[in-house]
Amino acid sequence: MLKDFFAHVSSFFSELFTKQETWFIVLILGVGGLIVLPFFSVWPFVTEILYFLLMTWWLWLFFILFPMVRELWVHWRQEMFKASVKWVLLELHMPRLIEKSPQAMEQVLQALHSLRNAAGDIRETYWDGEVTVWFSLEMVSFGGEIRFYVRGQKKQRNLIEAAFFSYYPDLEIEEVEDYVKGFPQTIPEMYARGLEMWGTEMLLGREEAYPIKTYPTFESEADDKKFDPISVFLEVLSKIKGQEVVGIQINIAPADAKWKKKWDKFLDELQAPATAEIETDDDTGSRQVTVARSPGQVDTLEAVENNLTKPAFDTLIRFIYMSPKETYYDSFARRGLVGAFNQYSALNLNSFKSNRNVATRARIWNWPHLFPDTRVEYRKQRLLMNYLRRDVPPEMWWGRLITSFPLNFNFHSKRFKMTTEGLATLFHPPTAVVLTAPHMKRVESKKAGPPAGLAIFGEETEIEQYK
Amino acid sequence: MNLLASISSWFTEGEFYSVFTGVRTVFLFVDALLIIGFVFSVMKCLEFRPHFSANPRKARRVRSLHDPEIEARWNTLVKRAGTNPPQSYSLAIIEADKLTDESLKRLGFQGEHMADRLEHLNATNMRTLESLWRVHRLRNELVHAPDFEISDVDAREVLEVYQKFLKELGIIA
Repeated sequence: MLKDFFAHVSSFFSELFTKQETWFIVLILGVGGLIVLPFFSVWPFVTEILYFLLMTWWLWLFFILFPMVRELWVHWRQEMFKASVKWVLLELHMPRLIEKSPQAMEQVLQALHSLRNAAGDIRETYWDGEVTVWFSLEMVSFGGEIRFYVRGQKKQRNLIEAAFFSYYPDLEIEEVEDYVKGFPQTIPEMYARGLEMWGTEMLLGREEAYPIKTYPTFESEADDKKFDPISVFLEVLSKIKGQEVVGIQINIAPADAKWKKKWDKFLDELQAPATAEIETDDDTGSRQVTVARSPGQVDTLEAVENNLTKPAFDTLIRFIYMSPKETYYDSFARRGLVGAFNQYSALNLNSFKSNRNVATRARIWNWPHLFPDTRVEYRKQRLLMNYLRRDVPPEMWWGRLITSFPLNFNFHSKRFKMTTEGLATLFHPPTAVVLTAPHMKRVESKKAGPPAGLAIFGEETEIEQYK
Repeated sequence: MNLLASISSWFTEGEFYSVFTGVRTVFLFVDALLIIGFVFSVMKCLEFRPHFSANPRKARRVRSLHDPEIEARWNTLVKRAGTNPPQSYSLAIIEADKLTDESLKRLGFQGEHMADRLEHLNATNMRTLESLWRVHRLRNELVHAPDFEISDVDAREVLEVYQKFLKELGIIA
């Protein structure tokens, strides 16, 4: 009870101090208070307080310092942990024909979910600084040629491959050198190369318990009613030319299986039967009666309940568009790509929206109105760095503060929970419906397994090369 | 003032005074540790802080001798060298020499011939200069002496020397 109360209060304050406005107000109040205070006869009272503080300052200092030191320490260890992870980038070569629905991708994601790690004890939390290692699903267009990548831990490479091969046996997976090495590594370097960029991160429009519009709604028995939502991405991505690059990266960290506990109360409220007041002839005048839910309410409830049965990932969707200055057209990314994400939105369910505090666009008209150009420059640098590193935001509040800059607080980047169904809708090998898209390199041959019981002569190392 | 007096007396005279000082000593010690821990963690965290600048457009440009045009020409030259031996190799060597000479000119070395320009370079801090002199003389042979022939293996070695020289200068990557 008391613990809940303190958690509530501290989360309120930590939320409050993530706002730059709060710091301005504190500064103004502090300076103003020093000027105004001498005019009032509050001195006896003030001296009493000061005396009390003088006698007990060590207690308050402890309560202020302890959480600070704890969070900074954990932040440092977590950054060390993140830097120590060895990554591998796998390119997915799509076969000519995939007849599998994105449901197969959902199963792949379930398999990836089971690779979850998390800090379990004091040593792992405070010394190893273990964080849940995330995967990155990427769709990248190099001047109109689209490629699919998956990044994961190097030591889990076999498991990632196994997850894909078991549902997409025709897929080819190749370890490639990280394509971001060819990107400008810093914003000054980008300008020196004559490039310009736009980018943002996506957020959910409503509570994460609501699912987005997922692949089953795009599927149908009839051929003329079958769609694959990924075709919109393929078409938009293929519209760029020459030196332009668009990269979409979906960072997913498997979330705790208990994630839906948080939404139990929410679900109870949603399930509560609707009531209406009707007038009666007796003394009370009116009474409450239960009424049937509308079909729309039933649909929403069904979708939410279904969503809460699936394993979820802590998801961060980020994309950048980089182009030579001559052909740079930011509305392409700002409207085209954000629009491509909006095909998954449903007004009764969930939708995507651009994270306005991360997007590399700020104008004098937008809150907080100060130095929009400098803000944009900072945001570009942060976004590019995060994209190149596929980074996820720090978990600790003080970690976020210490990586902030005066006009660029690092509190805006947010992750949300998204279930395997939603993610499979966003990222899956394009199905047969979109195979006419000529913008992807494909594997031309079909694969089949060898006959069973084939005699194999040779050592393990020789077999290794055929895997 | 009564309140102030009562507070101060509680701290200094009351029966809890010894408990109070005891607790205070413990907390002062813990506070000192926390301050040390704070300074230490902040220093460590700053190592992971990104480096952003408020105005990256004006950020100082890093100057390098890297010349994309020369590099592109070099790459096509290497590709063409093996197409029709042995003539293509002789041509490639002459071309490579010309390319090296031009990159030296672009760097601003003065002189009538390539040899004059090479004189400006200091052999003590360059590993490849000596071998470049050798292949440059060989190239002169190739151009001026009639019936001078070079085997494919030698020609490839000569081209490699030019490449190493350009790499050491940082003109090609």
